[in-house]
Amino acid sequence: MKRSVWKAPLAYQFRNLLFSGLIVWGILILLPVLFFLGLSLFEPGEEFSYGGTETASMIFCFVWGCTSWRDAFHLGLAGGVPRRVLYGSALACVAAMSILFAPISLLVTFLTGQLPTSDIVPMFAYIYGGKAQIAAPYADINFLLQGMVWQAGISLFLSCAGLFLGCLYYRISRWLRILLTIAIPVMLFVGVPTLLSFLPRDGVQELIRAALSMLENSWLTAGLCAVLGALFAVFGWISTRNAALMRNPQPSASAG
Amino acid sequence: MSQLTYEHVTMQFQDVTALENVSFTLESGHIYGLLGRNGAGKSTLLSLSAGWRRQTSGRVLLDGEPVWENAAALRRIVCTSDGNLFPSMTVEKGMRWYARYRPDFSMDEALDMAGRFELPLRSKIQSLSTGYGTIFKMIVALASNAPFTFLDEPILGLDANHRDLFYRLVVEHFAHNPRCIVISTHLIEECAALLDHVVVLHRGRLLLDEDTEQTLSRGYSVTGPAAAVAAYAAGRSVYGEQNLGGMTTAYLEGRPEGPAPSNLEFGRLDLQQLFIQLTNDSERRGNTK
Repeated sequence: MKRSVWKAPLAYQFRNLLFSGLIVWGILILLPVLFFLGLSLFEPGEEFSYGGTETASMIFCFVWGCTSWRDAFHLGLAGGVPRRVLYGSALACVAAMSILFAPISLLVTFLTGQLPTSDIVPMFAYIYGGKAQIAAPYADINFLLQGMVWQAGISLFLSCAGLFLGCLYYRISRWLRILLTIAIPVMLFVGVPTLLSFLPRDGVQELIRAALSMLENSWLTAGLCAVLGALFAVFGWISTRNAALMRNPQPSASAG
Repeated sequence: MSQLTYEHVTMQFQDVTALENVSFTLESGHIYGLLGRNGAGKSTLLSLSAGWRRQTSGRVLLDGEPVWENAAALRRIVCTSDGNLFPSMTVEKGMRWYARYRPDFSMDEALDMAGRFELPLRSKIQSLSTGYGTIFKMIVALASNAPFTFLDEPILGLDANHRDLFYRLVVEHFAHNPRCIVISTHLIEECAALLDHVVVLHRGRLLLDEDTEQTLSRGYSVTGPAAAVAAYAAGRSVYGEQNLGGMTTAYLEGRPEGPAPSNLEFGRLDLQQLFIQLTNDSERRGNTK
């Protein structure tokens, strides 16, 4: 019986995602519970607020994108799988992760919000909701859907950017990797503000206003992130389509 | 009969030419020895065969179809690498994962070989010793039952017992499934008996591509006292000489005419000695085929 060439690389990606996802969500559930238990023991009656679930989920998506490629690529090439299939599997996995993590994140936020003395509200409600939606974030299904699409869009952008970096880092030399690692934050936090300082003040303000007005609309933000994610996916493929297997690849420490 | 063909393959790494205009064909039903000194281009050739990198020019074809990014072709080629390609997992898990990728992988065969080598199934692949690391790679390659199996330095770090077992396994597997097995090695003397065809690369160029029998019938050896051997060799084409104590062995081209003189002994050409002489000779002349 002919076996699909997609089956094994997809299984490998999703199995690793399941393994890592269980750990990260376990921690994200455990943390507020520990907060609650700690406060109950040492500061009874004290209310606590916790808002890191969505952010942690998005950061995980980025890190997963950065780190998942290398092992899957090595095992896939050893297994006689073409690069396009390996990259397609990686993309399918990050897309599924971005989409699935949004409702999971909401569910975890909802469940941990049920802890007595907790004040846990989805980050989306704080950014895009009014007073009523912050007070009762789970009352409006459309609002929740909007929040999930927003988070999925941002997660997709971050995971594709991470995947691109993972693919790029695989190909470039050690020195270029160090240079890039330093250059990216320097460019973001020093280069861009410096560049903006040379531009006419009115123009910069207009630019910032336009960007902020775009971010004020969650649908627009999600759409923009999805487009940027797709761009990073294309860049990732460009850096991968002819990538050679590194000589003497060293063992990695990722979950298997 | 399946064929893996290299057509004018050149591989350039910046200013280093690893392979230069290499053309030859591998066929199923043979055990090939891919021989060459360090830096000859053996590992590069294996990488190109498995689609691990793309040649600068030329073509690698499996039954007329390019190997590069060709799922059907890549599934029929298995290659061991000098490094480890498996993520952090146990030996048994590694085999089970590999079985998912390789359609003809036989878990029973892999476990049987692991048992015979006493390979610890629960050890992490990364923590295996050099020898057991080599054994693991060799087992998954042989158990894949791929029509083209490339083994890169398959006896690296193996003790004498394990090397002996390896040779027996190759023969067993080949008898059971007569595919194309390519053994790339430095230890020619030990593998010589296995090989029915030799491909010699030297400085990225193809130096020799012929049946082992044909190669060995290119000449013969003469052993005896140095003066007698020198007298016999005078006027004959000599591949090279080896001196041990007072005895000399000369490797001569052609066939002996008549019986050996009383103080000399004729022998078969030795593959390793021929290889050494050929590559030295080529080095001296700076000229390869």
